[in-house]
Amino acid sequence: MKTTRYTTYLLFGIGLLLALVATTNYIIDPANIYGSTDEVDNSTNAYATRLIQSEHGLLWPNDSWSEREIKQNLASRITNADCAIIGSSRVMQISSRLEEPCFSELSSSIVNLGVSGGTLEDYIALSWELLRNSKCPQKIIFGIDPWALNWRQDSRWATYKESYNSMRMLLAGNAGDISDTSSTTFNALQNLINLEYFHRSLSMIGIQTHTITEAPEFDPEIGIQHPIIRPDGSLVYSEAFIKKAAGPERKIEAGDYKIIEHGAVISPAAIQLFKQLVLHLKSEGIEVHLMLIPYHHSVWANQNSRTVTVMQEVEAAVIGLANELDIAAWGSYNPKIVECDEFGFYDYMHPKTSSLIHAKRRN
Amino acid sequence: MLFNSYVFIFLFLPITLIGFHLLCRYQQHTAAISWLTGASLFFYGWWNPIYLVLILSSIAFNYTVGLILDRTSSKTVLTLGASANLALIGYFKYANFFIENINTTLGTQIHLERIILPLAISFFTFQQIAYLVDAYRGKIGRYGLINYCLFVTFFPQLIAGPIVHHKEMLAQLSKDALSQLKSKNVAIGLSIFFIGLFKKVVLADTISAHATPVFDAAEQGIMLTFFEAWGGALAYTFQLYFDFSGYSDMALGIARMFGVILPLNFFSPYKARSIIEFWRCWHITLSRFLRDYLYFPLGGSRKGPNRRYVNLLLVMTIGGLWHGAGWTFILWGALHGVYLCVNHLWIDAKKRHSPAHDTRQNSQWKTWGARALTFLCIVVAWVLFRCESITGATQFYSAMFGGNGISLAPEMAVEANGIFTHLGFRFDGMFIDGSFGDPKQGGWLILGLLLLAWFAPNTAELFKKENPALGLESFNDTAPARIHWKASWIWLVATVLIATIALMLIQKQSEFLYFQF
Repeated sequence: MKTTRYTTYLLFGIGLLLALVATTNYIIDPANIYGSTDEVDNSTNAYATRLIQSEHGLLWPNDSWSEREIKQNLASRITNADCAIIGSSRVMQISSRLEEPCFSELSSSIVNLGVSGGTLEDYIALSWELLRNSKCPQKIIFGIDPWALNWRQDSRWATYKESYNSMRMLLAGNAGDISDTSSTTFNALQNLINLEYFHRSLSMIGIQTHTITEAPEFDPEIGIQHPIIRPDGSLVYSEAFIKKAAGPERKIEAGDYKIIEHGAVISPAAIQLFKQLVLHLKSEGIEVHLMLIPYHHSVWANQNSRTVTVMQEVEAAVIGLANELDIAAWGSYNPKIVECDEFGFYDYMHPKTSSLIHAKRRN
Repeated sequence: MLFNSYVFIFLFLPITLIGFHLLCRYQQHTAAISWLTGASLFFYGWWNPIYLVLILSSIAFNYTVGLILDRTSSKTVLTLGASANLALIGYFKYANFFIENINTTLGTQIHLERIILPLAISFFTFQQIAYLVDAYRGKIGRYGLINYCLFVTFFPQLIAGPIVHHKEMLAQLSKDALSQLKSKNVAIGLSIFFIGLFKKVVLADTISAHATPVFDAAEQGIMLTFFEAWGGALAYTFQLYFDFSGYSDMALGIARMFGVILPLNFFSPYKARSIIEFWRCWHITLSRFLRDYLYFPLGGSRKGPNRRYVNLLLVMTIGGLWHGAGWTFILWGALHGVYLCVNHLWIDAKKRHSPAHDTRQNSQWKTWGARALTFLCIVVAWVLFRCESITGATQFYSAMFGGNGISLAPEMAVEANGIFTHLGFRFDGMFIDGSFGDPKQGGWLILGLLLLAWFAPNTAELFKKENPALGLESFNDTAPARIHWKASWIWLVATVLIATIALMLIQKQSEFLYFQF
């Protein structure tokens, strides 16, 4: 082949492939960046926007929008909260939008950033998103679970690994201004040939999309067909789940529930990083609180179990950490300490909202 | 402007290239050189236009001194010229470091504002010192100011090398050379450029996620495990390799599009079977500069073995200092000096015991043993190169050499009948800190990159028939002829694919590691 022809084909080939990628990204547009689809915008961005504006919240059917992406959006956009709570599914019931709001001694308006399997990496990534928000809540409560002071107890945080990496760089003193000043148009253009976005576009092909639907007025004790995310990010389980949890077949047996999957319970390195995070947030003028959410009484039935030992160990570490950092620690893994009754739980690890009304200070 | 940015690839490079080729086609030689010089200055000024004043003043000064030296061969003028260059780099690169050390040693409170290091100062200063020395020796031709300016600022090599010798570059800017510009150069240049881009954005940037957080953790005083420390050190070893290799390829490729062949700067250094060989393959033009303008003037090996070892230590320590103003760089250079001394001692000892022995006849296992040992020494040394402080490096070495014990996965406590417990291992997990990222992913990446570095042919070998770089003839070509580059369908499809993937991954531009030097 002649080199002139080779060069022409080379440039043409690259151009063609990039055009193909750009067209796919533009047409499918999973995050609705380009507004190019005629269909209703069902992206996670749109979901978060609608959620903030909604009256009772939005339906959140199973296998629909990524909860981490929703919370990431919420963290960077919320404007009317004075407090954010970050943690696992065990804090997801916490809401200020109730007749009897949760933790009113701490806040009158909480934004709930709890995510399933939330752990240290989630604290870091979501803190980054909160700090990017010019109307960042002035209080942050970390719901510390027994697995949270260690690494890689869950891998779902990788959804926002860029935020995680950025925050770690900031904590290591390697990052400058965290506000996003890059040109939106340029970023959008660049995104047309983004490999990751292309991957998302391809994964959307053939998948049935859900439509964003506002939740009707509902009774949180009963729920409706689908789970609901309230405008403050808190979760209301589906009617079926709530009913099943209340039914006789849902007896929570006493036993040694496995709450730590593998590895050491507490990593000194993880604690060190968490301390850096708290100190950084404090230096930004944010008041930090640590919260321990109770487990069901049955989990505590066997006092010699590894689970109980782990919970006691972590609880002591969290209170020690709070003292060291001069911040408040609240609650306990032990339901007796926080005066929860046996019926205040959906299962062995998820307390009902009624169990989360008052917080008991521990230091 | 980075080579791995859309602005460079889709705007700057095509505009500069088209303008240059049009001017060459219409025989506007001076205009073409001026166009390329202007583009190079624009490229340099993109970071901080204020430093254009610095580089232009440096060029004007050295060009004038060069003219004087060419006529007078005055040692005083040479000393003044070289001193002025050293003073410039000394102020911008080493003043803060020097004052910090004085304050620490003498307890003084001398204050100097933090001086921002102008980009590429180490490269253009060395290049011009070499020019002055050659002018003094009467080894330079008559070059016009614009040509000289382009020799210093030519954008493919300006920021991170190769350190080009005036003889190599200026001859290629002649009217005759440029009038023979061929389309083949663009085809070869583009192919080399995209291979380099792929190495940078796909390989180096991917493995960096397993290196950077580990080194950051060590700097923060976090106690790393044995496996985290080795994982981080290996990840950085390959990050630096593919970053610099990628940059070097991109520089060769871009220059080739303009019809300029740059000197070879990188030739599979991790395949080296000794540290001496490593330095013949890593940053080749820096080694050449240090040898020709420092090691030889100091006496090299001509003044006896003892003096040779002193010279080696001195030259390598200065080489370390050239990379950055910090004790970690100095120690890294000194460590390589020690390695080189040991290497020479070993060769001398072998010669004494078996004078007729030819190392080329070494068995495979000896060759691989030597390669593995050399690689290990290099990995250990890179830790100093990467750490920001001596404390961080100490922390890192402590973990690498078992100072923090060796911790295995908890499930291994019961495996192998508790043999690990008897051997003194702990079972808190192999990767306690999350800084190494996903250990499986990191481990496979490291293995894959090691295989690439050890077994894959390098870019210069692949393009050997097309004369991709100056100085390639002194290296053995191990790549079979059937995989050599040619304008074929296979090469076309492969290049289109790697280029597209690389272009799709440039979403977050990361600087080349050698930019900081």
